[in-house]
Amino acid sequence: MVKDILRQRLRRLKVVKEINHMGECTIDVQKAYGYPEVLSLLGYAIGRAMPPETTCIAACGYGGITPATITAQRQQKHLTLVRPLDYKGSRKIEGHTPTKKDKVTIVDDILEHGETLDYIAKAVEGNGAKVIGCVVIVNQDENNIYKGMPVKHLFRPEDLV
Amino acid sequence: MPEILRDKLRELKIVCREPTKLKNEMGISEYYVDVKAAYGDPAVLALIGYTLDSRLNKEATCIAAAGHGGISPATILSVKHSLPLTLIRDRPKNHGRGGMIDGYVPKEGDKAILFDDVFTTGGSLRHMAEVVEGRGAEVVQCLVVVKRGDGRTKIPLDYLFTPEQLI
Repeated sequence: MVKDILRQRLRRLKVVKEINHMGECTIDVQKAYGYPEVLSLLGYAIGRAMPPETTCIAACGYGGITPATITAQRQQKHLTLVRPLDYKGSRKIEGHTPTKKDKVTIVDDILEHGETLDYIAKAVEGNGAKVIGCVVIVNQDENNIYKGMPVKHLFRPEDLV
Repeated sequence: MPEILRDKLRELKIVCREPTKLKNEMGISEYYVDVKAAYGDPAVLALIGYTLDSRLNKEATCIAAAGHGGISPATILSVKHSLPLTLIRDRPKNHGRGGMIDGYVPKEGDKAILFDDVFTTGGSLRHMAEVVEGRGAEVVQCLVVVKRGDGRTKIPLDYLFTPEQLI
């Protein structure tokens, strides 16, 4: 039900645009973050999709942090912000520093090649925490598993065209 | 004075008195301030949201933030108060639509709140104001959690705490 409403809204906002007849498309989920009701529904849907034993939600960049914040608030989970890929310093983690006790779910807007997931997983696991899954809003990758991490998505690009 | 949040932030030691180099060669501050440390705990992040609720300019039509420090509280306020969320980059991104703005793009007639975690020299708020005003919108409020420095803003700065209050 919520996903149906979301699908309609994201379609109307043209989050996914086909650029040719080969099925290639551009995806901009972040423009949906400018609509508070859409953002709220995203938080709800991501919360439903994430493993229930999650104790901590990790994200990086505007695309991930915005939905991660809403989801963490709704589900009352810890929030871990990982600094951007080009950050050179030693303190990569802001917000909650995951510990051995934590079961972490990574949240991001798009899964394309998985660099961001990989980067966040490494930063988080450096502290002994375990990544138990990822939830992305749009999954462009054909697989539902990335380097052993189960990946759940709300939509495939073709759902939103 | 929001005492509950103040006591919580003191407990979390988000402010320390230690000389801290500011970014972009802007000199040295006598305080180290890390508001983001408070975002990890959902209850404290919610408390930051509640405390900011009553401070928001009621005329605002959108809320803008930049960087990790601004985005999390601004996201919560956006959803709670139905204020479209404007995410401002410090440099244009090289993919997607390009440009300095993600999320809601303000337009003429919009009244924007600029939100950030810490205010020091005002550079970040000035950058946000330029981007928002560049779209024809008006800035009606500059709001931060901690006011660490005496930089100038075009309109008076609203803040919850000074570093001294959090030690």
